[in-house]
Amino acid sequence: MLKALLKKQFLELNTFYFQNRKTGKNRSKGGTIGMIVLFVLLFIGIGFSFYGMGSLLADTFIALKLDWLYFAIMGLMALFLGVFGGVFNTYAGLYHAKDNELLLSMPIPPSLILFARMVGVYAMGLLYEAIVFVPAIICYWVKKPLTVLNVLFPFLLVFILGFLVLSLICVLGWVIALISSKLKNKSIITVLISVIFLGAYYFFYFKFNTFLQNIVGNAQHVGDSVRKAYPVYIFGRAAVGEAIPMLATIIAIAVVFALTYFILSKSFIKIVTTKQAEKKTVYNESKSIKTSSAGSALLKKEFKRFLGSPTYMLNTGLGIIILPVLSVAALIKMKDARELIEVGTNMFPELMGLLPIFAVCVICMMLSMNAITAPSISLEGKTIWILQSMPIDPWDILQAKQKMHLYLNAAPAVISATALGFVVGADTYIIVLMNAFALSFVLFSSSFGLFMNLLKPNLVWTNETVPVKQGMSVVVALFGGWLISIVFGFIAYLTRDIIEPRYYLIGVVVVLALTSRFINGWLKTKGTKIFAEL
Amino acid sequence: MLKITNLSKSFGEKKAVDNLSLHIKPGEIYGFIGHNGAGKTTTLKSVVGILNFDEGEILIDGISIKDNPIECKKNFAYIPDNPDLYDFMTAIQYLNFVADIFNVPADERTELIHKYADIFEIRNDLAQPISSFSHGMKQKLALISALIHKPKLVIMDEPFVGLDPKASHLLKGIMREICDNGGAIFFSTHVLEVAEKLCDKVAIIKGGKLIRCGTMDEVKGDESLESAFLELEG
Repeated sequence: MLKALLKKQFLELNTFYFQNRKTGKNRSKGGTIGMIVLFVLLFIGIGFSFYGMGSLLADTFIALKLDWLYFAIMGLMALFLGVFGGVFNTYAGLYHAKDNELLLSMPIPPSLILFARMVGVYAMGLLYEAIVFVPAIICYWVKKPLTVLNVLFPFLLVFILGFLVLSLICVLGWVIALISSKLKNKSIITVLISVIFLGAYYFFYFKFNTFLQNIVGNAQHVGDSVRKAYPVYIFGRAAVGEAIPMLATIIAIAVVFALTYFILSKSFIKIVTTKQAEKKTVYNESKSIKTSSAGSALLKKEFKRFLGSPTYMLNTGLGIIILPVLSVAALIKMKDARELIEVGTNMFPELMGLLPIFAVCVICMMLSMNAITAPSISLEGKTIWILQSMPIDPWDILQAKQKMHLYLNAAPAVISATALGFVVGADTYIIVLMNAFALSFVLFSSSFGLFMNLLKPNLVWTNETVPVKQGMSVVVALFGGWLISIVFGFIAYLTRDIIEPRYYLIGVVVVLALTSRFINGWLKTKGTKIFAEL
Repeated sequence: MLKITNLSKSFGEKKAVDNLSLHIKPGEIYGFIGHNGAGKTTTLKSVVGILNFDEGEILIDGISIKDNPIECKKNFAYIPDNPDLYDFMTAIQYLNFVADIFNVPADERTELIHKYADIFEIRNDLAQPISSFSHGMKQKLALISALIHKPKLVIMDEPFVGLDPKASHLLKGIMREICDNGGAIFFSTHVLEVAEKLCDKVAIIKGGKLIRCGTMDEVKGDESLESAFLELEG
């Protein structure tokens, strides 16, 4: 029975990686091999970076005879990545699996179903954990003479640590699910958490080297501190090849895992078979019925869709927050930014006058990442009949989509163009032109996104990530926007001796405005026909 | 109310609807029956202007759907076979959206929303997100959204699928009420018993061609509609 369940579990994993989620068909042999090669390369690539980090730490710690500290630190990192990598899908994977009802209707003990599911979670956690810990072990083996114990114990610890990862994933997954079930406005909170996480990621990424150097520089002191965290100390000693700490580690992790499994298996059937009572919003007649014009109803509908979908917001609207934040950060750090610019312009003095153009080109590149209109028609999906059967001019529908794009992007464009204008030391006139450039680019990308989506619509999707992330229109709108921004920067460089920056900026604004007008003309005539016939 | 003349629509080589003509007058409940793939949905989608047709003409209240789609659409309501609605809205937000598009005044929409929400017993669920609705509830919501702008013509594709017996019964009453007030109903169905009891007229389509249409007696004669249908289908 367990064998059959495990087989099913691994088939599920296999499907995840080797089935085309768009068509539901198995990938071709070439596609499967390509996928495997991609994963192996990814594993090796990430592994190498951890090997490099391990190498830096190992040299110092081995010299100071603090080998255990090396494994303790790398083990903690592996634990962190393992837990972090698996935690977000755990709750759904364990409790909300699609085959719950099917399996529970069969004569299978619920604890066995849970066990099989946990094997799947273990495998995922192990994968993430091993990416850090395996290179760390190899690095240690390279730098130390090999003994039976220092080869065998770390190797075993990869799998043993996996059980701790699994236990923590289960507990944290449970906590996350509990919190999320209590939240209102989940979409916006998801986006905010993602932005905070992204910020934290880049903060740590940039500070990581300093952090590592601090550890290496204060190895003895760090060692004394970590020694106080006894389980970590014991784990480190086990990895070095000491038998008693190894035994203690195995027992400790086994106890934690057994406890987790015991608690989860006791609550599993209850969680799976009890439908959570959802808080019902009370219908309030006086507040609920409101009238507005058809145009504003369409616009409100677009905003509701955007704000109701974390996928849509995260993939096409992250720049709305990031662009002003980065621009204001550049203003705050203006002194440093100007020093950096000075270094650049000392090396390439001919770039001096082009700085405002380059700055606004960078802004435009970031603005093209906010390709809000590019998947907006595909996102109508199976509900497109609603708009098509209503007495509305398709042009009004397209305009509502375009307006949302403009409203959401105009402010970030203005804030960033003004802030970067100050940073590069542009005068007021140039800053105004930079603003006009950024705004006309917003107008252009709104029209271009719609144009592309009308040419390449995808209304037959089951998951909205397909049109938002994999849609051809989004890819072309995004990279097309980048290409156009680069081309504008490049032409500015080539024509720097012929055209003054201010005239160049005016020229670009005119070109973008005319192109947008031309695309809008197409949208109004051919585009509306295409929409009506989708 | 609805005049379809020589309607033809092909998908590649396959002729989905072939030279179909129908005339639905005010006050009539017109059933449209045929086996799967006979061309019912294609005809209905062509009528409501969400599918371009190759030949023929469709007039709703004397207005051509091809030449003046917006004016035409003001006069009818359409409910597809699978009511995919905006999951990111609540039921009341969706009804407000539809009422805004059809420019229904506040007091009138309040009255109609509550009337039909009470009939279909979903008034307490109006503040819930559509994503939490069952198929039947979505169907009820789609029906309410179709009725709140008082359409002259209601076009429905398999309207009874997913509805509970009580809601089905209520819908039949509403259909009759619309027709008694001078409106018309054109709907497709597989439930021949319903068609037989409810419809004033019926049309049978096979392979895209209209093989029989007229009053219920004209179509079925002395037999039951089921026997007549099976005989005609061969």
